Amino acid sequence: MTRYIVRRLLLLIPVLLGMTLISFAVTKAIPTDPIIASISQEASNHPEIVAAYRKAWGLDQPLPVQYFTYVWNLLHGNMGVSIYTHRAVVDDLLDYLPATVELATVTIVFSVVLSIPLGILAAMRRGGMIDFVVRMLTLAGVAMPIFWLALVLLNIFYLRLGWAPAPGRLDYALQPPPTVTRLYIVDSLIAGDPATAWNALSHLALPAFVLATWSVGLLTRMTRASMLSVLPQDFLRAARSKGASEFYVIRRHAAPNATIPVVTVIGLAYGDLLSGALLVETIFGWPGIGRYAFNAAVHVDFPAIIGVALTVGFIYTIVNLAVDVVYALLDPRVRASLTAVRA
Amino acid sequence: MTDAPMAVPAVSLPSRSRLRLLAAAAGRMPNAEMAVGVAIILVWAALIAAAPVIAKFDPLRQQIALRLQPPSAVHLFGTDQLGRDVFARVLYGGRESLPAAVAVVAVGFLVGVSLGSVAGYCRGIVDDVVMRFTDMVLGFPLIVLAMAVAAALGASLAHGIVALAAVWWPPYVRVCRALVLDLSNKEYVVASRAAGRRPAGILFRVILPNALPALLVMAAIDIGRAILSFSILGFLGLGAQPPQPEWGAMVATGATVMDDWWVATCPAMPVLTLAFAFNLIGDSIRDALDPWVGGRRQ
Repeated sequence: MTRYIVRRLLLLIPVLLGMTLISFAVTKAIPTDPIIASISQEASNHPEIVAAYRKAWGLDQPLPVQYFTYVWNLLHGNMGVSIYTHRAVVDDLLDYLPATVELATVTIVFSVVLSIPLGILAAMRRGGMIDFVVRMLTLAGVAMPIFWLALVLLNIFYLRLGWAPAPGRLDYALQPPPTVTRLYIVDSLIAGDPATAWNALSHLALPAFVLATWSVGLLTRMTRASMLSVLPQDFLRAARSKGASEFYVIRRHAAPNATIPVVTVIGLAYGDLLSGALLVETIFGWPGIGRYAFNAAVHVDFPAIIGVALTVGFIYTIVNLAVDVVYALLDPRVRASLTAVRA
Repeated sequence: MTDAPMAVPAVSLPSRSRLRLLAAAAGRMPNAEMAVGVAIILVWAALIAAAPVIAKFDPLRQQIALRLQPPSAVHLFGTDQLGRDVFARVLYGGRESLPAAVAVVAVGFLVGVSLGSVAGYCRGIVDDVVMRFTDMVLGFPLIVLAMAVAAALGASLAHGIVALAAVWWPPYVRVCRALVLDLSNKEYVVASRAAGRRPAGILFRVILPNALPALLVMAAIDIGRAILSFSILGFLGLGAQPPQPEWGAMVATGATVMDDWWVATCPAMPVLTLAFAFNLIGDSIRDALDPWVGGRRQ
């Protein structure tokens, strides 16, 4: 098992290098001159200003040198300076990423807790009323233009009913908790301040709910399909024939087998939530990485875009690795095949 | 006995075989849900195609005096802040969104199938290079990439299509490669190789025709996802530009006047219903094809 994890970690290196190469190539292939985008039109008419700018950003070097400089800097935790915010991209990411991670994590936990029972229930009542309702609702969830749903819910629950708090991570009157993980809920609990944690959670509720329409749709559909492929199998009939109750058969035999493939999808969905939070973040004024990426894109701020793309890509890759490991731990058959490879 | 069926055919076989055909068609008849999905798509397609006939107003014509009128018999979907008829704008918006979504899927399909079939057929180093490259692209947050490309090229309808197409192809590579790998081992492929057919002939004339139906189904269902993604770019202001009507951009216009709900909601409905319809069709096809989920396994 350890060897499997180490091998997977080593395989990450070429993938990550490849990702830096692709993101670098994208920025170079695009016709827009970041100089024009970041300094004023008037300043770009002065060749000496442009030349000084190019030199400052290393843009006067040949391409391979630019690339190796970039990777070298990355290895030292330097992602360059954002052309738009004039701050180190790493500092920007440290500010914005935790808000997104907090949002995506609450969303995925909520989705999993809701989806797995819902999917199992729908599969058990296949073709019935519950199944139909669940299927239509989850289908609408996957098809939902969430930017519209976000606007509607914000209008109803914040502007009209006043149930939801104002946009942002905390009420204005509250101080952010002392920084430990930069996740407000976790940090305020560490600081022994449940009121602030509760406030952070209440700010999170509506955006997380909107995001979850998609992930609940996806995960419920996956659970249902997976459960349907497990239900007709012989080992369930065997369990029933030995006299086990229906609840026991589902709980101990069907559900564990059905949820294993769903674990993979949970990992993928979490990665998609990190970048898919973009729309929700823009609408709810959530100071997350998606909104940062959007501002960066609009201002053709390539150091920032590459920073976001690489960071999310990196998290995505790590999460998928973790998912594969969990998958192997959960499924005795996969575990056995890994041990067999080692022997 | 042996003569009877030979004698009867002239009269009864045509009608009986027609009956049998009908029964077979009914047996294979896509279930009601697929019919609903197809119906939703056809209705929208018809409305959009007939937009110049149905819509009583010019989608670009502003009548400030009639701004923010609620839906009525004259203005079915009401009017927006500039007094433009939302119904006309929704229909004309479809003339941007639908072809754009089809174009995105078509480009993604062509690029993905080309790379995937070459990777699956050549195997070895070509396969490794193509697949690792695909994996790396898949590792990126695609919406961020698409957004970056769209913004860098300059926001416009055409650049929105390019941006989405640029990130659309990887799933097609993977599925096409898997299909080609699988089909390559079929006896009829081995036979045509033994018969001395050139590799290109085997790939294009023997393997691909057998892989295409599955890939085309995948592409057809994918149009719903493309409509949704395209509206996201439009909402962010990175797709079609005003005053061009486009569904996502129209929702963004309505965002500031949510109390006048119809301005944002009406353009969101075609996105929701179309994406829903394509998914419904996809589900029906999957249900019909999957021996486990379909429950038809003996």
